[in-house]
Amino acid sequence: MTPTAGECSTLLYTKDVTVKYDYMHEALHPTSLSFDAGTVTALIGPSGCGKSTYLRCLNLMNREIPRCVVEGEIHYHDHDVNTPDENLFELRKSIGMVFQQPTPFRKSIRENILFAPKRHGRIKNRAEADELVETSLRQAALWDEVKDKLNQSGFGLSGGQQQRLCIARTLAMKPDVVLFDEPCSALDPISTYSIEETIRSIASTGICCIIVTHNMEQATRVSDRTAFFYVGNMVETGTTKQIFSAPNDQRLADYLSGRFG
Amino acid sequence: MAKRLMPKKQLEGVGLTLTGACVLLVALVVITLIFMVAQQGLSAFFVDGINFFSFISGTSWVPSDGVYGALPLIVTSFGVMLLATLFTLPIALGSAIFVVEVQPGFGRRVFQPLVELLMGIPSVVYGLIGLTVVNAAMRAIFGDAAGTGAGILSGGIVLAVMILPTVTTLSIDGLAAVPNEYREGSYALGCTRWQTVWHVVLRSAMPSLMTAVILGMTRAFGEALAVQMVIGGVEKVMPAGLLSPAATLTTALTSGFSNATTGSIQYHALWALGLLLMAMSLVFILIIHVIGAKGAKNRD
Ligand SMILES: Nc1ncnc2c1ncn2[C@@H]1O[C@H](COP(=O)(O)OP(=O)(O)O)[C@@H](O)[C@H]1O
Ligand SMILES: [Mg+2]
Repeated sequence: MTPTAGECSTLLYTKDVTVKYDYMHEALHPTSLSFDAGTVTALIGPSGCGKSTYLRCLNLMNREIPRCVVEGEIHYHDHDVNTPDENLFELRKSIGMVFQQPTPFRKSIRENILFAPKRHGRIKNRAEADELVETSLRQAALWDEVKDKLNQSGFGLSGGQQQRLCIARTLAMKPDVVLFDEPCSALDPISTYSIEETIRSIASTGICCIIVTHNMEQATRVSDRTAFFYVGNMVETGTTKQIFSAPNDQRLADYLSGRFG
Repeated sequence: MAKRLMPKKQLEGVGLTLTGACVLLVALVVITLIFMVAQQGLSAFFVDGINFFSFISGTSWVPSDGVYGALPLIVTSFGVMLLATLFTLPIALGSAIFVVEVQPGFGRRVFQPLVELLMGIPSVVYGLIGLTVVNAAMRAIFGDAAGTGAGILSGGIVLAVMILPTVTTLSIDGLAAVPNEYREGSYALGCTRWQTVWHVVLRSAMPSLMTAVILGMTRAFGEALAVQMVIGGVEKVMPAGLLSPAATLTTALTSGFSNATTGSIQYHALWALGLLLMAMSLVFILIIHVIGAKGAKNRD
């Protein structure tokens, strides 16, 4: 794809990124994709095809896995971050990530939100903290449900609420990219719906959202663009509308018609 | 399939009876134990007329003169226990963090088996080593102030080594049980490994770490033999400092029974010490249960 200048701004793109596990097993073959501010991109494909592997390249999360090698270029704000001297802790402050399993920390709801901003010295006073807690929770559509119990443990929330707490926690760092790895797989339909709403609304504030999902309806509901992965290859990408209505690749067509995966 | 020896229904009955009998036996032993210690211990107060309050708060313990003030023993028991915990905790926690978070390969293959080996060493061996090494070290470091080297500090050090394996192993298990998702959740927020360990992993493992420490404390509190060998164990008044020889509840018990005639006041007073020990252990166990229940409630 060639983004037209001025119309939308490419925030993040990869050029021929590959991932090897255990130094040799190439789980992701050269993949090039680009992501624009304020859009939602869905990564779909059968399980084990490398969606998470690709997603975890974008915030250099794969560096936490021993013997995992990521090669190729990952450009963020026009600067290749896949270099040995990139400060990955800095990078992850602005590229947030939400996982499949909601993982609130063993802290109060309030402290879950303030955890990272505090560690990074961003909280100056109580008023600032209060405001950050409220805006983050509002963005994640959780404020009304928890505003009276901010000092209670995050473990007391339902699964869907916990996941929204994790989203709020990520937004509290004011990222411009948020990666979601199957954020709804562990949730019921109502929570799923509310998370999808949240993703749409944070994208409308200019944040670039990238979501891995194996749920194709979810991809059509939530995303502007879709990329289809198959056995370690990014096979086809385009607008979500085009991918689902007029797939070019035969494997994608088979996948959409439910012939495998 | 071969023909059943017994009809299924009957077999189930036998199983039920056998397992039920085991439970009954254990319950019976526990109840008998508590009853016996309580009966013997309480008769010091109710039969022999020792005042309970002066028993708890009296500052000298001289059974041969009929003076029964257990406060010095209680203070010494808590003293060596707290010292042991103080020495053990940072080392156990530090090595647990190393094993789980820094070098899991080496830690799991080499370090943990080594630590578990320490757990199997009988306490008399710890006592012997304490007697020759720790007490000598005390003399070398503190000179005349340490006397023979026997004292509360020596007792604390020997106990620290004794409980180290338990606390370390349980801490390792506690940290290893923290799901990796929590670490990734923290990394994803731009936190460093150290911030993650300190604020997320340790925090998540808190209930199991507390349980580890309290189990260690319970062991330190109840240990008699090794402590007796290094602490002096003959003093009858309040210990003056960390270097002064003293007696704990347990050492007073073990050394006292040899010259107490069955049924005498002295004999009952020793049982009362046993009762005190048991009550305190019970408190420790209760604390562990409360922490466990709270941990379970917080988990989901
Ligand atoms: N930590 C890892 N170590 C080794 N192999 C892995 C690891 N994570 C994923 N893989 C392998 O990489 C391939 C892609 O996995 P993944 O990206 O998780 O797929 P998806 O998210 O699309 O289901 C799979 O074959 C999987 O077994
Ligand atoms: Mg996946």
